[in-house]
Amino acid sequence: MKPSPLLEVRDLEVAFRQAGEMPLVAVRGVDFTVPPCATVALVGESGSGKSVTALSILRLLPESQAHIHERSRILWEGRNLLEFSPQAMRTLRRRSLGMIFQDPQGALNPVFTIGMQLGESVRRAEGMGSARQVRRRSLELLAQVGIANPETRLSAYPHQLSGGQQQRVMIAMAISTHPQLLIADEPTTALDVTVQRQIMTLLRELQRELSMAILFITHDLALVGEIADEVVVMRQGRVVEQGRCSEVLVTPRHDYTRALLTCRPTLGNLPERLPVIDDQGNLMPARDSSSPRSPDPLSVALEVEGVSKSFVVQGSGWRRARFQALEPLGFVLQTGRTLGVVGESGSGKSTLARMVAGILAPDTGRIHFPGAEVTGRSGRATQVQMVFQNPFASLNPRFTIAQLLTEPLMLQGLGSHADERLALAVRWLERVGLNERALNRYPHEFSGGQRQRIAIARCLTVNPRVLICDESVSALDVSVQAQVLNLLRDLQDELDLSLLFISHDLAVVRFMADEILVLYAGQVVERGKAEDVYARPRHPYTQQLLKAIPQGIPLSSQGAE
Amino acid sequence: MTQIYSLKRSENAWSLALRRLWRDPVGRFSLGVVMGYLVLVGMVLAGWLGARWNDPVAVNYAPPTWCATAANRVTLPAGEAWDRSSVIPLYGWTDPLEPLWSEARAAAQRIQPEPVSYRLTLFFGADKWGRDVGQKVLKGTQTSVWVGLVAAFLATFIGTVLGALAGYYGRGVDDLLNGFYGVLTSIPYLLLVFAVAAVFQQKGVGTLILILGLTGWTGVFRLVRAEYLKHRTREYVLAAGALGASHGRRVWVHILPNVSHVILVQFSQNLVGFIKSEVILSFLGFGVPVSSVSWGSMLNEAQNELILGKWWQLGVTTVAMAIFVTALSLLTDALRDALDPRLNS
Repeated sequence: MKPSPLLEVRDLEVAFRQAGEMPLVAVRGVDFTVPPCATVALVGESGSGKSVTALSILRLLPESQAHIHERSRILWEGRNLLEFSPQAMRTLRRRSLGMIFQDPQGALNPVFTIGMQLGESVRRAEGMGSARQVRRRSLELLAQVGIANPETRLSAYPHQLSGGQQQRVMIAMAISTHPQLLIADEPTTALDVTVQRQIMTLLRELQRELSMAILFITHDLALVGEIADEVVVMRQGRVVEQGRCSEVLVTPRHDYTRALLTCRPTLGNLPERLPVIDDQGNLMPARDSSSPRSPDPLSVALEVEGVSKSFVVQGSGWRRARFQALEPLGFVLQTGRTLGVVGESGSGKSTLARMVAGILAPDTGRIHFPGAEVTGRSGRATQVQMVFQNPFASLNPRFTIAQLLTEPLMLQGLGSHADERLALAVRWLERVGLNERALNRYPHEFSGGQRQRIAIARCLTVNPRVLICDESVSALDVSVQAQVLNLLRDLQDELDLSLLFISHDLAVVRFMADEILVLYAGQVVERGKAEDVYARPRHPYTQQLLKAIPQGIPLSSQGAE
Repeated sequence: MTQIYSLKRSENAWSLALRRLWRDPVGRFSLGVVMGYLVLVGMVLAGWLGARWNDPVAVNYAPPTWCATAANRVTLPAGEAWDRSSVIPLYGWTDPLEPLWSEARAAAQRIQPEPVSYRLTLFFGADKWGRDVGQKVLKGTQTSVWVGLVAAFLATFIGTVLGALAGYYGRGVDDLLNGFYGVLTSIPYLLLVFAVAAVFQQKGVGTLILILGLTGWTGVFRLVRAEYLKHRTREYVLAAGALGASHGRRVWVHILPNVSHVILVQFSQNLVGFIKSEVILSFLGFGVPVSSVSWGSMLNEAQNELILGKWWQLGVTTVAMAIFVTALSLLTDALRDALDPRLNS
């Protein structure tokens, strides 16, 4: 006997008006139900319409731009939400719905204390007047979401809390209303992997305690397995597959779901190349690489000795304090090999990347490229190049692709005249899977994955020996990430590139790296061959990191792939 | 083997912005008005319009009229003055200059000057000296807009260069330029303008441009500096640096096009401000010399005329100025909306 659903979304269609253009249909014909006390996960990549769906349930979409189709219905305990008066909707939001967002820092007002913001939602939820009552309830909530020293935290400002604590405060605010449904929109995406684990555990506990339903929105299928009872997979505004979590994740029927599961490298599954999704959403099997890595005599491409860096931060009064971002460290990177650098935010991994790339000057130590005379910035450019995290920011938006690709050639004096440089640029474009039609277009006309490939091509035009990838695939969707990772591996085999691969994502680093360096608060806590570090982590921090990786998908299903 | 690729670019940010500006009715309208004024200024500069603004063509304070009749002229006899000057009694003395006088009189006789005919009314009316207000306002528009344009170019240039250097290099350069900026902005504006005017010691359009340009760059400086501060750590600039681009190339080739929308909006805001400043300065007597005419000097004359009830010079000048300044302000707003990268979708 199925219980009557708490929330029922029927044939939801949302279109956005655009000035002078056809309306953009973001969600088309989405159906799903949320039973009481259950967790339903909406899974999809960027542009799949998952957040729009959540916002239309809350009726928080701007009505001047977004238009919900007349035949769509969102039933809350059998009544259509879309016909509620604004007054009734406010009451519902206050009494029965809670929402947490991806970016807790943006959702908290920086000029008010935690106590004031939490107190406001407590007062509104309970209709309590007395300050003492509000305070008592706030303390209770903070304790419930696992914040240590709730008394002192009440008078703290948001910036004094870590990202994980901020998200806990947001959860406290959301559950202050005793909601029947909690909508969580990518609540852990901006957080480090160990913090993500804590928040997921907290959500699960709270759900049991408060017997509420959760609508969990994420792009990460592995996370879904940890929390959800049912899963709805969305792509380009449509539902491609839905069902019980255990069934969908173990025996996915749709190609796209299967792709989402296999495109992402996992610790237990390390193919030479990753399968990718084509434009129609079909799964393309991994191409076998013809030649295994050659165990040729290893030469050294990059030598880092005792490099450290500290930054000046504002101290108290006139004094200036220094913050040690990176303790002295050293490593050797061999030609054609990959060194993976793993660490959470603030561990100093980006500082290391920028020093090797020559963007920052190290305080101490030496960065050396054996066998090459490196003089000045220009000389270093031909030795080492860097692919940045965000392909939307790392390409100059006012340059055409032709300008972007020929500029480094011109700066390095490669190619004797403009036509020759253009021909070289086209060769690199083709090498990363684009063609000369891209030459006269601007970066904003390309998707994230294409832009990242253009950024890689731009770095390679000067034939560097070392390529630094600083979180280069973190901002990309899973399917696109697989394409870029495959491309990097192909290029490495072909050009004998050495990669310094930096990421917070341990599975991706495991897929790419031969050797691993684990950074924690500016210090190397563990290093060694990748398989050794992952199989037998010695340092407690590494053990904690590895344990925190979402293991939601039963290992048996990975073996079946 | 090299292959030639066609270099026809696809739509860039500028043409997109222009298209957005054109879609906005206010933007389209104000752009039309401003363009009309600029064409007018060009024609005056070329000498096709307003060239005879300094000729007395009517009786003084000829009122404006919309329907001139045929009898709208008065003819003053010519050569009168010569006859009268010759009947000064000399009490028996001979004028030592008599030979010269007679020679001059003989020459004057040969010329046979035509009698001068003056209009009694004009479409826009006439000023104290009988000059056509319509012609004057054309010439005045040219002077004022020209001064505003050139001064705005100068101020934007100084502000952009200093702002880019301060924002990009930071540290000592920034401290130095910021200190200079702080000192300059702490002086009351008019006092500063008078001080610069006192240093130049001469009136003229060139002086006016220098005064406005040298004092008006501070707003541009502040905004451009802030933009450069923001952009210098952007990943595309770091990437250019890692590829071996020099500092100069990063400042002028990479960042400048990305902040140009800010500069353009500042330029048009400065243009509005400088045109108003020119009017104020000319009104206060620090503006254009008497050999020239501008909106400000016309308004200055108008204050005396108004006491006599001669309102037309004030009216015509005010309308001409108000239309231009309003259109320019609207265009600035529309430009800012059209160029705002946050609206790019």
